[in-house]
Amino acid sequence: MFRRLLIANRGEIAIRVARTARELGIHSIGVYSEADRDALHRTAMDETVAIGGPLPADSYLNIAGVLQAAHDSRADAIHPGYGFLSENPTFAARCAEEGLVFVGPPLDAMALSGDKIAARKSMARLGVPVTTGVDRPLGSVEEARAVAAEIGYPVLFKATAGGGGIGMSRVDRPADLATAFESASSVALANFGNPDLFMEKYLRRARHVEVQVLLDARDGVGFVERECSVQRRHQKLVEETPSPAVGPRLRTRLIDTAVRGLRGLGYRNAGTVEFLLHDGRFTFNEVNARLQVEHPITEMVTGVDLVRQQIRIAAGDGLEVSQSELAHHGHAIECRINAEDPIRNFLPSPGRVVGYREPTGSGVRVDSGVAAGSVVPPYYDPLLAKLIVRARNRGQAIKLMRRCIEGYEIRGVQTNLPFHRALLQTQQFVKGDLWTTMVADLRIAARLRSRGPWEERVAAIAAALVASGRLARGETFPLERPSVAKWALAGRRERLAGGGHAVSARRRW
Amino acid sequence: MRFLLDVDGERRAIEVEPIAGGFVIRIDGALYRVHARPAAEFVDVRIGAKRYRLRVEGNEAIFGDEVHRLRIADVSEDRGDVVEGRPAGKGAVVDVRSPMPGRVVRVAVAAGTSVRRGETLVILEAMKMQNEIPAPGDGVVRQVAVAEGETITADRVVASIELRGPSAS
Repeated sequence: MFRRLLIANRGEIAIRVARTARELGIHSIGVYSEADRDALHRTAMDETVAIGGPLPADSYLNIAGVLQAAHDSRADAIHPGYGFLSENPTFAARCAEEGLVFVGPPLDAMALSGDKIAARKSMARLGVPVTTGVDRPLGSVEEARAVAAEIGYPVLFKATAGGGGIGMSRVDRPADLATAFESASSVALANFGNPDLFMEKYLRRARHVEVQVLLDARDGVGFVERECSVQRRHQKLVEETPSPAVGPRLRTRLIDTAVRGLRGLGYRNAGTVEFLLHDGRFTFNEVNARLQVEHPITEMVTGVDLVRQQIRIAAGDGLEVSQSELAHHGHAIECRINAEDPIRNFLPSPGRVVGYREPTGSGVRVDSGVAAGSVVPPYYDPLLAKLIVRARNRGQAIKLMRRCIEGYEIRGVQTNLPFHRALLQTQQFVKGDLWTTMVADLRIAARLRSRGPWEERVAAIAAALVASGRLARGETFPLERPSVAKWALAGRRERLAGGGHAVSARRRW
Repeated sequence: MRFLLDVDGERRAIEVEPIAGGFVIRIDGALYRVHARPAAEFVDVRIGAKRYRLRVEGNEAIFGDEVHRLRIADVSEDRGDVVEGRPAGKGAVVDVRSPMPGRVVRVAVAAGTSVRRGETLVILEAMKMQNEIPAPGDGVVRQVAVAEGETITADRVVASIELRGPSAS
């Protein structure tokens, strides 16, 4: 087993990995950018190393900087988390050169997964059904037009080197094809350094389901599927397991296919195979060669610590679980809590968290990267925290999630909690009728009018000020540097939580 | 009526429009229909099914035994026809401000450029998303106050635009 693990990430996932490292008795080494000097993830580590400026390219994406930090802190392994360097073959190769164990798949398997066309071809060769499309980069608009005519509209452009939904562009009619081709190609070049696009048939009203797989040198297991159909612009917002659309027979086929597919790529460690589910049939979408954001829902229903298994596999200690003894209990849901304002078209909302309180209780897990006083920098992705619940069945999990959303208080930055509140009220979600464009099709964010109880209280105060004529008389209190009255906050939190023995903010006799 | 209201350290821009029996309160695009009845000591407020009885004393709003600290500033009687806090008449020069901190990845205009309402002035990258800052109306760019690559704070002026009045367009 490793002695010292460097965690090359930030936010909630860095904290999540450090937790398991501690349980395994491994010394954890964190890294941080200048913008993260006071970040919460630093407090979760045994030690931390500064790696550069606020921009990702200068810090969390800076291969030389991360390797230097690993060298200086005498790390023997690196866990990359997700995003940043997690699926970067150059980084994995450099780790190997430096004698560091990269906690992830072997280089070849990572490169193969990262090339979407190569992954499609490999899967097809292994007998995995793939979505109708072309397995070559499209050289020109004319070629794209010919292919689209052949497979039929709507079609979807995808970046060969893409990921995370970036560079994907849906085309409904021939007239829109040229513009979509140019823009998807330039987005792909800007984000992945490679403008190559390929094309797939776009499946309307498809569900996104995926299978988590763990593979070591001898054995492999596939977990009960996760459904991640609630997305906005191809970004997942809510995930759950099991999928309400998958029965035992389909489940067995999905799991077998995923394990067989990844093994066929020469894969080791944790990986996920994504499928589209359409009219009861599934087709391969892509491989995610990393730990995924939504991994906790799998942990909640199976009791398996996926990060622990990742580290064990990387250290050569092997899997602790086998397919036959793997069981799942109940239903888990995750809501991604992002610093985005759903009322203003998900406008990013960096800033300082001035008030923070997490929901608690049985079956509730919050993986958070922030606490009261945290600064949310504008440089990184907007994920603040993940709210995860597990209950006996889907209906109870939804009720528990609703209660948790009401009890989750994040003030100072806008969050997408109001979106989640509205989503969990829609008939479609409650019935388990999910599809990848449901957020846009149902106009869930566009219909939002309120940000919830706290802002409603602000509106009440504003109305009282105006109604009582206070403002007309020119009675204003100048804005000063924002200060949080701690006792007032504590009191209000207790009250919002409905505690019978609430501590009053300042009792007035 | 518009003003800035800071409650326990969190600031919001408030717009109030009187309606029968109360107000429509807008806060950054959110909309609350509020019925308010001032009495001698309290103001009774109703929003949807929720009722609040509160008292404003000095710089404090008191709900039962809870106290919130208030700060108020920039009270104006303006309604409607304002762009970023200034009347948008013919020939008015308005400052376009950044809605959030971020990094300027592209400046799409220069001083002297004619722009139409909604046209992109600047693209600001924040939290891995590219956000377009649009022109608030038809007009001519007077000045661009940011450069590509620059990291800017929220509320920073990115450009000023001399608006053409409705008659001129």
